[in-house]
Amino acid sequence: MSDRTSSTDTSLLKRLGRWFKSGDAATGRRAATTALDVDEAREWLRGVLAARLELPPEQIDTARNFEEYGLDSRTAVGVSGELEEWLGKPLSPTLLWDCPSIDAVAAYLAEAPEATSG
Amino acid sequence: MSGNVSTASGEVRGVTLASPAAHRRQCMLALITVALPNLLSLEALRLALEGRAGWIEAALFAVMYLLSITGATIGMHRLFAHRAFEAGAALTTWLAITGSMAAQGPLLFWAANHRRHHAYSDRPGDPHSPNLHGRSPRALCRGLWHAHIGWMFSRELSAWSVFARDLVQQRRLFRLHQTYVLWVALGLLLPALAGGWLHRSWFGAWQGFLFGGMLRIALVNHASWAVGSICHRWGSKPFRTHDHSVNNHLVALLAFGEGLQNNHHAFPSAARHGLRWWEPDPSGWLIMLLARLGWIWNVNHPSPGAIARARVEGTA
Repeated sequence: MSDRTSSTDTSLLKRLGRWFKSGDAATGRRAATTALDVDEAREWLRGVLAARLELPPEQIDTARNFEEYGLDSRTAVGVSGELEEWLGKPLSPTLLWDCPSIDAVAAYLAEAPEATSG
Repeated sequence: MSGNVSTASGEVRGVTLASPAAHRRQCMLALITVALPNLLSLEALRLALEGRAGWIEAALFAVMYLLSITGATIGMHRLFAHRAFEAGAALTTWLAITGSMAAQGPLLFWAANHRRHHAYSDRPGDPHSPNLHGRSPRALCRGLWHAHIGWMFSRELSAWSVFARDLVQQRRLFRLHQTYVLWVALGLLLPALAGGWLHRSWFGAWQGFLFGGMLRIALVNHASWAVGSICHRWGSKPFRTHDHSVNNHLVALLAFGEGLQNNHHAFPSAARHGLRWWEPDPSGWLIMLLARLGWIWNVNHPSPGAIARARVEGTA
C-alpha cells in the first residue's frame, strides 16, 4: 500500500490521506506541450483504468460508469491523483464522482482551460 | 455518478462487485481489523487474570469505549448515515474522528453500507443480513457469522452514487473519510501515551495500548456487529417492519442504544432509538443532552401518533 505518486502537497494530513486512498502505480508527468484533447485524455484514462482493474485496455468501455467496473473509492481517488500528477494541475479528489465515466472526465479536462494550460 | 448502477448480474440497484485489486485490499483491511484487536485482547485478558491490570487500565478502557462508541453511534450512524440531527463544524469533526477511532471503516464506507442495509433490510442486497443463508441450523449459523464478521470480506461494493451522493460533495467529511487510518492510529496512541505517563513506564504504555486500544476496539466492534447479527434474529418486535429487525436490550446497552433495531427500522431517521423511557439508549440520552445544550438542532423524532400507528397491537 505504498504511495508512489509524488505530490506537491506536503501537509502531513493530506499525505497520510493520500497514502491510504491512492496507492498503486503512477505514470508520471505528461510531456506534451500542446493543449490536451479529448482523445489523448480518453486513451490515457483507459490505460490507467485497465492497469488498476487488471483488464485489457480494449475491454474498457469509455462510456460506462466507473462504479460498474468495481472501482472502489480508494482507486477512484488514486486515479484522480495520478491524473493530477500527469497534468501537473490540482484536481478534485472526487472528480470521478462528478464525472462518472472516462468520456465525462475527458470532456471535462479538454473543456476546462485551467486543466490544460500546463 | 449516475444513479442506475447495477451488479454484474443487473439485479440489485446500487450494489457492484469490487475489482480484484479492490477486493484484495478490502479483505486485507478487514482481516487486520478483525484479527488484530481480537488476538491482542487475549493478551489483555491474560494480564487481567494475572492481576497485572488495575484501575488505570479500567479507566482507559472505559474512556476510550465511551469515545468510540458515541462516535460510531451518534456520529457515523445517526448523524452521517441518517441525518437525524444537525450539528456545527466542530462537533461534526469530533464525531467523525471519534467514530473513526472505533475502527469500523472510513466515514463514507460506513454510511453507504448502512444506507444500503436499510434499503434492502433482510432482502438480497442487504450487506449484513443473518437471514439469507437458508433455514437449516447450519445455514442459520452461517448467516449469523456472515452478519457478524463475514460480510466485511464480501466482494460487494455499495455504490456511492446511490448511497452517499450527499456525503461525497462535502469536502470536510470527505477529508475526514480519507484520513481514517490516522484516526484509528490516534485511538491506539492516546491510551498508550496515557498509560505510559500514568505508570511512568513502557509496560504501562503497552497496557494502555492493549486495554484502551485493542480490547476496546474488539468489544466496541462486537457490540456493533451484534446489532447486525443478533438484532436481526433474537429479540422483541413491537413494530411492524418489512424485515426481521428486533429489539434486544442487552445489545442495546452495550451498543449504546443501537440494539433497539426494530424501533430503528420502524423510524430510521429518528435521533433516539429508545421510544420508551425504559428502553436503554445511552446515545439517545446524550443526544437529548446535546440538544438541550444547544450543540445540536433539528433533532428528528417521530410523532406520538406515528409511533402508535406503527406499533403492533398488544405490545408494550
